[in-house]
Amino acid sequence: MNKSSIRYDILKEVFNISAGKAANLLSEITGKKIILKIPDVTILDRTKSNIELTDYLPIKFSGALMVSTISFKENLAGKANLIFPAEKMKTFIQLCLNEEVYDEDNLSLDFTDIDFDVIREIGNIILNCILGETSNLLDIKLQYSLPEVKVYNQITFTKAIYEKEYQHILVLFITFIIDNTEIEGTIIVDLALQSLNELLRKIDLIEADTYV
Amino acid sequence: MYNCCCEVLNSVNEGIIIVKENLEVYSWNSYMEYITNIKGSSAIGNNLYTVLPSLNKNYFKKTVHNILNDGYTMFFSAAMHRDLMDTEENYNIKISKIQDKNNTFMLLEFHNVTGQMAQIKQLKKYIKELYNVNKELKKKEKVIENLAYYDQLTGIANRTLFYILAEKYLQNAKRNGSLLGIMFIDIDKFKSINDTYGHQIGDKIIIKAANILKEATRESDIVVRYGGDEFIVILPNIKDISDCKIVASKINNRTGNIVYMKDKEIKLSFSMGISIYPNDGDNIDKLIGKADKAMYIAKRNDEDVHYY
Repeated sequence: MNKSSIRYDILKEVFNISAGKAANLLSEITGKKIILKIPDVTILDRTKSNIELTDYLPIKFSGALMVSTISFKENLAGKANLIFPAEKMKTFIQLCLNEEVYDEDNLSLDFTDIDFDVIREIGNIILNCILGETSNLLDIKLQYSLPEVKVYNQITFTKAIYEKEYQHILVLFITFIIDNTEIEGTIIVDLALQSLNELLRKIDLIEADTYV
Repeated sequence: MYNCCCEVLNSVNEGIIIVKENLEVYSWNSYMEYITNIKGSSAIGNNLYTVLPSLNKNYFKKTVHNILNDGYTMFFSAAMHRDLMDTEENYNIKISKIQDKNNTFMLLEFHNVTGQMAQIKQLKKYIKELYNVNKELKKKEKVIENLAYYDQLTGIANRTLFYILAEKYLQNAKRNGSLLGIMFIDIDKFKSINDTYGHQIGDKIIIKAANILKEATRESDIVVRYGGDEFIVILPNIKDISDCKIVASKINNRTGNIVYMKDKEIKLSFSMGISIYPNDGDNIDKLIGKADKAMYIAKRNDEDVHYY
């Protein structure tokens, strides 16, 4: 096993623990069994030309995305995005609200204010846990806003992401399971170069502790 | 300054509570008094959960712990937390930590979304009604389409649908350079059966004939009731005339070509005429005309089938 894959395994482990905490809280709120898993983690260097961010999004070729974005500031400023395929979110919201799922409710991708509020709350819980864990690992203090929820098409969203100033981004694949419905999403967190180095240093420390 | 802040909070059109780190209520604005019917003087100085027992839930307490310890700002949507406030109205709740030099406070904001939720509920009701009306219309459209294109007695394609499909298959055959067979069929001695046994039995015979033709032909063939006791089978993608022969022989040699009545049974047989594109014509009318003629020759010569 090479150095890089061990680092990713450790990151995955750490983020799965925080995802578990978020899932417990969401299960308690909705009264349903919710499982959150982070099956994979990777760090991307935006300056490398062969990187296609769309390869890391929940919908590979087309379709709208529902994105919850938290801005953070203080020791590190940037954004964290939780991205889900919009077409699956209607059912997902109904399940969270313990409402019956009707076909006619899912005919359009028009979301109501109630839908946005539900996603804002869920996105807030998930992103808080992930950012909380990131700030713990980096040993820095972050102050963050409530999520802003928007529906994007892929081109607009990818363009918005590419325009960011940070060279590195932390990409977490997330699987959300509620009842028998499984939704795959992605979390993208801005990382400054200094933060990346600090993150890798922390992971190496965890690794060293593991093998003592 | 404190009084000024209180005035500001009292003029805000949302409920605001400020609690100390130990969850003792520090400030309670006028809108909060309106929402809860609890006077600020009764709330201030008391524990948050004592004043608002509906907030005393495990997940809420966990969240409050996270807010105070990690500085998270949390949001509780009215839709997901209908029981978080003991009122008829619906509130989105936002909670954040406020830190000054020496003290930690927690700010709870209650934003009334009752009107919004009622409007959305109403809108959803209208959408549901429209959806049902639309569904009903689509069903009726289907029935109308069925009446226009399918024979009501036998359920197979009628003459209108025949011309649409035949044209389509002819164009395909022209494009692909393939053969298209048109088989004209009528029931032998149908007039005499009808006259002898009446129209009800006549209808029974027609239905039986349609079923025989459907069963004896290939899945890709189209069986049409052309009118009266006349049927047409469209035979697309045939290799040569022998394919038509096979279909014709299957039609007349089925063992089940019998209609049973109370004390009688009628054995059905058919006369068939076949024409083939491109040999016998390059349009549907010509092909039908020749298949029809071939069928009369078959009938006259007492044959099962005749090729033009």
